[in-house]
Amino acid sequence: MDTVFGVSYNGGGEEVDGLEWRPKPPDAKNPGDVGWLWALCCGGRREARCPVPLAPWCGTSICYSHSCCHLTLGSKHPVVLATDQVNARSILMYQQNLDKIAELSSHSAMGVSGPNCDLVNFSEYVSKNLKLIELSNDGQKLSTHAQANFCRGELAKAIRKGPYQVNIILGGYDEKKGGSMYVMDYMGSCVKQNYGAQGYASNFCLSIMDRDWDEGMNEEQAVKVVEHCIQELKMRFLINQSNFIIKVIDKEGVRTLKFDADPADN
Amino acid sequence: MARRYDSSTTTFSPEGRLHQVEYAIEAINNAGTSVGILAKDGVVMASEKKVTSGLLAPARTSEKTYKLCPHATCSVAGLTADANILIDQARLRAGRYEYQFQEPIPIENLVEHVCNYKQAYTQYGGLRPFGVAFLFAGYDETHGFQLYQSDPSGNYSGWKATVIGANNQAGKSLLKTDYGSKKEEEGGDEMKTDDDDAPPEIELPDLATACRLAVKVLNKTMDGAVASPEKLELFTMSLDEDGECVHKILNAEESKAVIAEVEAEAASSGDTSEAAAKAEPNESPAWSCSSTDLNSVSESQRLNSLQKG
Repeated sequence: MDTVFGVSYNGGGEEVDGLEWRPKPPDAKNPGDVGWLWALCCGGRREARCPVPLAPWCGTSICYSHSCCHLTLGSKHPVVLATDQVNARSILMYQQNLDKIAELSSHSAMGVSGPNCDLVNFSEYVSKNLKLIELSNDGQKLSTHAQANFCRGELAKAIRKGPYQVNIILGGYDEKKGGSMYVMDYMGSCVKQNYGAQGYASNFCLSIMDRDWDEGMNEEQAVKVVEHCIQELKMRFLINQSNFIIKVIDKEGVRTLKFDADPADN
Repeated sequence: MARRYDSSTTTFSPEGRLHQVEYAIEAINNAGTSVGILAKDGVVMASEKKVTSGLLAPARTSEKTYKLCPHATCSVAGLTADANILIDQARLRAGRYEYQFQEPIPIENLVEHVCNYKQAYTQYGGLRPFGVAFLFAGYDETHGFQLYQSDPSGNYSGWKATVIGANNQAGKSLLKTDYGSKKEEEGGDEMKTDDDDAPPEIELPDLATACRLAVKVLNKTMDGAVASPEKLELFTMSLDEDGECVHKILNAEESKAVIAEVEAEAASSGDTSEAAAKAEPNESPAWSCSSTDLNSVSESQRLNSLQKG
């Protein structure tokens, strides 16, 4: 948390070597003023104080507001997508039952992270366009590869105008090739991978998936790895993420395997 | 009375017809013939090259067969100038699709786009329809090898074997009797492809057989004029060992070999084409030895059968 916190306050663009929390003695008149966060630059020769006195826990939620994490596991057979279910901005939590996995066609879905506006806008834009293409192709479905490249193209187009602040993991199942997944960032890079995680979660999950992912995993095993990742997040991640949603894509199509909070609840 | 409705493409006649469009279709019936035949390991398109003058500098590239993208080619009957516009459209579409999806365009998608473009010219005022019919040969992952035909009205349809241009009726009737194995007496009066559930009686020929049949049909549509490599162009599309599409226009020597085989076949089975039609399915190993290209073709045949097995 500190790194992001420091960088975001060090808008001048200087490298931050470290951060230091310098608490103040408790002040009865001003209970919110508990200390300052200092960013140390140039090997400690320069230092800058954050302009606003903030309690460290405030920083946490600010940092976290624009990022959520999702993780995906692909293998020959099923693709497992999971995201957290938080919709939050700034220090406000709006909902905890958001479904961030948009279903694109009967056999593909994408997990999207970013501010809720871009998240909804982009996933609707892509899914509706893919539906349109499918209809005008006489019901012929696009392959996962084609869908991912369409999606990537839209991100790349947008980066020159008004970027969508979304990172994406798109998974799908093709009759011939089986499951596959593509990891994209908002700038329009796209890589086909066997597992991936974005946002803060990647710090915790990639190593787990690196160790546990296996070519011939079945659905049960893949889901187990994802749940292991979620367990790790709950245990080690500073930000408490209580709710996750997991979807599976296999030859039967996309289905919601489980969630902690029902997205249908209002 | 039809005169009143002749000049405009956009007006229906009282009988409910669009005369300009019909005339455009009629114009194609005078153009050089093109035959398309679907084989199990590829597609064959044979076209009649009209020799206008001996003084004309020979074209460096084909005037009948145009590659649209690595997995689709079309054969033209009608006005070449009009065709060039549509071919540009098709190439553009194929390129854009590949740019957007990083995947080759499905053949039907490409055909549909060209036909939509053609259709617009039968509807919007002040324009004349394109005087072109196409045969599209192509390959895609989902449907394998495909053959489509289109006309100036913007209609298109998928075929196992078809003919466009001059004398296409005669050509089609020959195809009806000769195409596919003749286990059943009906050679398949419904030749339209139904993708997967094709009637089991029609078995697709191999590329070499399809080539010979195409020449035979062209022989018939050219009205007895003896086919020679100068007068016809044979195009084959097949897959190589890597599953890549191979487009090939047979050179004079190779075409000559095919023509010779067709003649030999006709001679051995009586002399008329009628008798040839009743002969047993053409299987002559001579073809595969006679042409250099055939090594790669038989290679891909072998590969295909391996994949199926």
